[in-house]
Amino acid sequence: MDLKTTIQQVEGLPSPDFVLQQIVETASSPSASAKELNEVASKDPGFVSKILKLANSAYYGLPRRVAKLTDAIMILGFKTVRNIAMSIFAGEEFFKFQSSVLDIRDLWSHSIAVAVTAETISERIGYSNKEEMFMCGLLHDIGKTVQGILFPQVFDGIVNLAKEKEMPYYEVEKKLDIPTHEVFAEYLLEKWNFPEVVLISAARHHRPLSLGQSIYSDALYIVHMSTFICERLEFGNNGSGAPISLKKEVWDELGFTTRMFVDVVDIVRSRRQKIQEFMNL
Amino acid sequence: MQASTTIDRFLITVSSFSRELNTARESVHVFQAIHKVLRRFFEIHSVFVLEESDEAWQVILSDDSFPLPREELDPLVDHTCERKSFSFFPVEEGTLLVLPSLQSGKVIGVFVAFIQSDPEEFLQENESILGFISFFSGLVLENLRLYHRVLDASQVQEELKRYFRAMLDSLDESICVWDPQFRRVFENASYASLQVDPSFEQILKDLAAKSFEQEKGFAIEKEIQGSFFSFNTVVMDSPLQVIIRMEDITHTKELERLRQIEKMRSEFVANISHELRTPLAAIKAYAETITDSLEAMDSETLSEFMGIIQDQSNHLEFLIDQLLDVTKVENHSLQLEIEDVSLHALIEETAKGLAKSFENNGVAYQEKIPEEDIKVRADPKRIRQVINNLVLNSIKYRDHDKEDPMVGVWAEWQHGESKVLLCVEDNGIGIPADYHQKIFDKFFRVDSSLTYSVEGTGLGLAITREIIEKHGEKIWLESEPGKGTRFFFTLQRAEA
Repeated sequence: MDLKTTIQQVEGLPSPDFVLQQIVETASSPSASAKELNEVASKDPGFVSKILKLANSAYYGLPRRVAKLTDAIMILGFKTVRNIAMSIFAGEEFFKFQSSVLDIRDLWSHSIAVAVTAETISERIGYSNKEEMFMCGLLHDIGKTVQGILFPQVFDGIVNLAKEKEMPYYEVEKKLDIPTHEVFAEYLLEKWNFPEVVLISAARHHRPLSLGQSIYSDALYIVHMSTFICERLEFGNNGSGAPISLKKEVWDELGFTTRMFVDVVDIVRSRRQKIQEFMNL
Repeated sequence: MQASTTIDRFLITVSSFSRELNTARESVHVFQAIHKVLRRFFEIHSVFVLEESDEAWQVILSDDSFPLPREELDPLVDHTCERKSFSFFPVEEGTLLVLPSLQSGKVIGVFVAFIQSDPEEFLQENESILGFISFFSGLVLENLRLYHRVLDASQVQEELKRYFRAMLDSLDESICVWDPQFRRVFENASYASLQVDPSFEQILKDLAAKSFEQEKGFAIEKEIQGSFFSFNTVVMDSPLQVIIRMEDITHTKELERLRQIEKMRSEFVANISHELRTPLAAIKAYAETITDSLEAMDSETLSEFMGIIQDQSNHLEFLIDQLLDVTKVENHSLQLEIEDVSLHALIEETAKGLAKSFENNGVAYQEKIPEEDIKVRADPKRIRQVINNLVLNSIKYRDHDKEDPMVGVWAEWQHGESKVLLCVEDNGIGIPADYHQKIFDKFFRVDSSLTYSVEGTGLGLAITREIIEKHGEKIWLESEPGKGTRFFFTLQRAEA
């Protein structure tokens, strides 16, 4: 499995369709207004109704039902609506493949859990860009779906080996010396022209210190920590045979204390039920 | 003109916000800062602000024109607290912005603004600014809480300090505290009222030094400038300091002395009755015997009996004289008849009068007087009384365990000196050092009890001292229990 063919293969993967791309783009554009975003989305009424369904789900717990996308944008914010749209797309297009060794719904469940955990950590440690962290968490393992869709035997092989050797997924990839899910995520998200912070956390979440000090360091640390917490809590299944070990530097850099850790775990546990709403798409 | 980028506008807003927060001292200032900054983005009609306090919401700001009743607002606030994110809620004739202040994952304040701008025109870039304000205001609120907690704590400390100060000031005892550099770091009101002078202060420093040295406190009594003080020191660990408590116990001491005198006086009454009764009983018995059997008595027996009656009468007279003398001592009315007297004659006469006592008690008498005849200025009768008293005391308090009890009288003078030194010396039981001053007090007896192991009125030495002092001279003693006693007194030489 050489790199060149790999890249070519990735080219063949589904891309966010035009409307979704426009939603993501508009929602990320500082100069966009709620009205504009609504106009963009209204071109695909089916997609809008999916967004509204998730927005009205127990996870967001809105005090009143929203019937219009502009209302959802007002109440939840541009970035959260974008996150919802992205979740729908990823859930439908990527976390849907068949595997003989892993229920992909578990991988999806793990991804959402990491997204929620990343947002929760942000709140707890005072990192204000928390909606972005949801997105980073949501897509951190998108590379595994690329492997699963394009090279099902390889994916199944890694999962099997990880289970058998009781090793983390990433360690098996490294041992086999094949392009890792980090590499696939990087190609895919680059192709989609996604925000750099999302790309970096997907491409380096197993190597949080590899970037040195960077403006994306905190985001990377948060995703790494979130992965660790969700594996420990056995939230979904990301195909690992053993949980990753937490980098001490990440703990220290984020200024974590035992109290904070316990708080985060408690909140994530309490949100577990609501997270299921994402599964019912 | 170049249009400001999103980053520019973000920075401009953050700068304004942090400037507004710069002077925030109360939480309300934080919300006022949010209001001021957001007014530049939105047409804010009215605001409503809640702050968490002891797990309950307190209304911090509430404009009268704020349109929403609490029961409609509360579910929106609850939603914000659950999601920990700001929201715009479309309401009648406008939009409600609900902005939480987040700290450590908790909502500690909620800023609600009723906005009349068209919600559809709200821009995505506002989201970053609102998100930032949400986190940053929480941080500032939390810091203000800590700031107030520290203020409260120091206020409590101040109050406690005042409370203890008042308590310490209310004490009669004087209290001062010294640090290892001997600086006075505390004094109470009672100490201040003492008006401690430098020499007194030096005594306190010495007590502190001793406490530091011993690493523990102690108690001591001292006489300072005519007053008695009791001192108690306590050593504190951290910071290393010494507390000195002191109390003027002069009055207590005086009271104790008066009580002692009263006790001695009552003992004296019992004692003197006994002393007077003894010779009187003897006189009475012998006189009755003579009266009853005068015819049957031979002249020798009669003479012996009459002798006893005379002796006892003399003793009775001596006692009564003493009593009279002591009255004179009491009101200092003792009169002297000073003349030039031969020291030799004075001592010889006294010794002759005591010869019988020496013999009866088996006490050896020694004498050492300069050979030349020295004349002294004195009342001869009174000085004889002094020597007599001292010698009789020596006999009375002789050491029965010693084989050779003795009493010595010696006198000496040096050429060119105007005074003669006299000494009555014995090898008796001695007097403990504690009593060297007290024995001159009237009624005082070392045994000081009603057991009368040794007879006496307890007046002799008081009278003796009065006589010597009336002469303008001094009397003192050296004594060691078990070895003996030396009483010294001086007399003025007569001019040649």
